[in-house]
Amino acid sequence: MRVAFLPLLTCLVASLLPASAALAQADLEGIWQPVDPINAHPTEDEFEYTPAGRAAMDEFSAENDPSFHCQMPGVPRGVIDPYPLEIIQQEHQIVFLYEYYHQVRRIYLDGREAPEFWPPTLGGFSTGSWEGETLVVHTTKLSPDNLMNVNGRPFSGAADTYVIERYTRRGDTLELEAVAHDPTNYVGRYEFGMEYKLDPEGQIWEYHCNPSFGDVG
Amino acid sequence: MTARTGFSSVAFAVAIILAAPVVAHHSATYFDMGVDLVHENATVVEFQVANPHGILVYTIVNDDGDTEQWDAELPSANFSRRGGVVESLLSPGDSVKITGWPGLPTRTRERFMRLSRMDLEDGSYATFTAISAMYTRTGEE
Repeated sequence: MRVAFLPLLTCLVASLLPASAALAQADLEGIWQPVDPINAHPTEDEFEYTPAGRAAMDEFSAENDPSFHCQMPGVPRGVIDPYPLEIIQQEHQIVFLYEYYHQVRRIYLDGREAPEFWPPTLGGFSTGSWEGETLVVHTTKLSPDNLMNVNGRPFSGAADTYVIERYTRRGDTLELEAVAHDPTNYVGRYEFGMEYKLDPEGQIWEYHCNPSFGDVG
Repeated sequence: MTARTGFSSVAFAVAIILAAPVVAHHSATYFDMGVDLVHENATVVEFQVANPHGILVYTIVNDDGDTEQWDAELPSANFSRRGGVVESLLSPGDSVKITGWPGLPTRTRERFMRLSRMDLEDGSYATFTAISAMYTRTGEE
């Protein structure tokens, strides 16, 4: 009789937990070193610009590159960068601490949604959930003052833009698969991604940016 | 008569065509990464390791005997320092051999390049990619 109660009690307790409770399905904590970030984005024949996107790309110049003015990359551009990333997991959120420009991203796991008053920002508003052992991050409220990648591919930051990232840990490798949706500039999905390697000896350095050193022309 | 060196006659030898796609890094947006530009006997004016990019300002004497000032861009300070490239490596007046990728005419100012290697007077050298730097002391090859 006592034994039969245990599974029943377990089910009862589980049913009382909020559906969005951040019971981590995987341990993503640690410092991760990017692997081959240079090839993380698709080649030109692997995606399609809209006419507006093509025109924006053709007009890109160094003056339009916000990183030369020490503006942090944000999302989507900053999702891929060649510097280490530290991940800290908490019950209600997962925090991404990027060395690059000291970016901090909070991935909310508690079911909250972006408030109406939340303005478009470089980092956007990120919510997360688990699909098995994969962390799925959904980011909206993105800024038009941004790029898709370091080569000047445009990003509109229009209200219909969003980015989905999937992080899956396999041993000491963290796989990232991402899709950006920007109908203004791209036809269909813009897919990118890379791997990270866990670096137990890694260290996040300060990244102090001086815009006096951002001039290329 | 001491030969004046500036542009090496082999400076514009075409390097290995990089296999990486054009979109590899923003260096490819601004620099011709298929060409090696070599400046022998460059004289350091200024050397700063910084984010987003360090800078090496130097002068050379061109084939006409005129002094030209050039700027060479380095990777970020974070990459440079991780590879042992620090500001104390060079001082104004030092002689250094510069190798790099020239700026694309429509994308950058004149006399601007992206550094791929610098050879110091003491035999040590540093090599650079778009996202890394590595300093090698003499005898540590």
